[in-house]
Amino acid sequence: MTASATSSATAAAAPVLEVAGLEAGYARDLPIPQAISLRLARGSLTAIIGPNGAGKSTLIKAIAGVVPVSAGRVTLAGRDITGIRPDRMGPMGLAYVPQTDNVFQTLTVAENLALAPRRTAGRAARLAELYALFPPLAAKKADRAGSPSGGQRQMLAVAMALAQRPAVLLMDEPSAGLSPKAAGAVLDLARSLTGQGVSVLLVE
Amino acid sequence: MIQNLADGILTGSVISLGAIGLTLIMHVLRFANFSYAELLGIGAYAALVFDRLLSALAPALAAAFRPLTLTGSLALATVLAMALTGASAVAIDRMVFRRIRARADPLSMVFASFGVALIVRNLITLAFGHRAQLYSNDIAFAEVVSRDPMLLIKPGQVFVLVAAVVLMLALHLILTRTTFGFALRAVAENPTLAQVAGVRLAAMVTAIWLIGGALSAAAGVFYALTNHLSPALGHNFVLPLFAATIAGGIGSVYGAVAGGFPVGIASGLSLMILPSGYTPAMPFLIILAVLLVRPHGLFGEARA
Ligand SMILES: Nc1ncnc2c1ncn2[C@@H]1O[C@H](COP(=O)(O)OP(=O)(O)O)[C@@H](O)[C@H]1O
Ligand SMILES: [Mg+2]
Repeated sequence: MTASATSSATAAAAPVLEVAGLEAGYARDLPIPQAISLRLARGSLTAIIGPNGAGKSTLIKAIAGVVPVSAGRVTLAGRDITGIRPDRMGPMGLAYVPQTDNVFQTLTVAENLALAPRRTAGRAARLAELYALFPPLAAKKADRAGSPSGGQRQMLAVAMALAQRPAVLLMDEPSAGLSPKAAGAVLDLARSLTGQGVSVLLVE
Repeated sequence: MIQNLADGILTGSVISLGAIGLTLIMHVLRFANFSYAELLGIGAYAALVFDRLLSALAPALAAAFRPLTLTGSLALATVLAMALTGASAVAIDRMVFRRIRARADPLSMVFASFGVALIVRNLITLAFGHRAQLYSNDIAFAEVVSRDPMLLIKPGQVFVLVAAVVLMLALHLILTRTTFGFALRAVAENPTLAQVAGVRLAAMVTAIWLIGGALSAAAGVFYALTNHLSPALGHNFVLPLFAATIAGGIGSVYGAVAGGFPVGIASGLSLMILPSGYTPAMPFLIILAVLLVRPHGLFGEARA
């Protein structure tokens, strides 16, 4: 995968997330995304589109610190975050919603959500906000996260990411496998987040 | 029959305690740790040393809680042994496994674990000798619970069963009531996602070694209290612990608890129909029987 994307005209000013010449992969000397560069402006919504197996997930995982980066740089609000541990990304302001296995199925909905903002300031208030934002989750607090419908599972995964109060939200195919209605709701949510200043990078 | 069942339940509680840490380590670090059971031996002997020290320093502690042979000093010594064994488990990880984890494949970890087991067992033999030892030479009389069928139970056995269940309940409360517990279960289910959710994996691995070491030490003391200590104590639990872990589903704390009892009971009951030389084969039969019905274990789930 070789590509270059600039989210919007305003990105030129001061991008929140800047990816420069990124290469990453699962085996040494076999980079899957090659020389990727992109810039996300504050409050922008950027989509990466490509065929299956193109390396979209690998790119997003490399930015999130889950896959080793072999070359290039990732900068978040001016700070170099290339290849730092995934658990340090949240506190830095970057949250990631994986494509699959994005909730803990053996934990309840409430336990999943309580986990994410353990080190976020104003944790209780943040949780209350999220339950207000996603009423179906509040109704299913005590259920195992493996049991809700696909739409609610995705909602929980997004809520877990938002619990960390990210400036940048990475979402990997958030609407895959959802009903058209649920998919629409997820995309509406992504759009409304940009209104609150969150930069969203999604793969579709 | 009833006697073998009762003895099997007791052994089962020791196996369950020991298997809890093993199942977490196997799942999170992805290697079969053949040295894990030696933690039972470390714990049992550490308690012996602390017990001798404490009763020498404070003779008042050496009085037994009747009708148990358990003394105040041994009870305190067990707590100290749990802490020391947890710390030893962390130290072994730092000295051996973490270094290998950083550069080699899981198979190297398995081989290293054989080496660690040999070293631990031989160090124990070097320090304490081959012969079997007891915490106390006091005789505890068994209570005749029933004559037909014959059932003899020693007060110490009841204590061990209760104490094992109390420890498991305490762990259950930590796992289900605290965010630390949520994080531990999250790591057991999906270590990568746990990191993405902000959990520091290295800290959780340390916590798992500490908890596993402490519970194993308790298991070792409980076994030695109702039987005896010998340097082979840990070694004799290698297969039962693996059987409980695999039967319960690797990565599941509740599976390890649920798997420990059938393994202990089957070993106990097998004594009725088979010569005792066959007892060590029982864990294998349990693994086979469970995996035939549930390929991912009692509490396991199919996952990548
Ligand atoms: N864990 C992995 N180990 C090795 N190769 C992988 C792994 N995950 C994906 N790949 C390979 O990397 C390539 C890109 O995959 P991916 O990033 O998932 O693509 P996309 O998300 O665009 O469908 C594919 O050829 C895939 O087979
Ligand atoms: Mg993908």
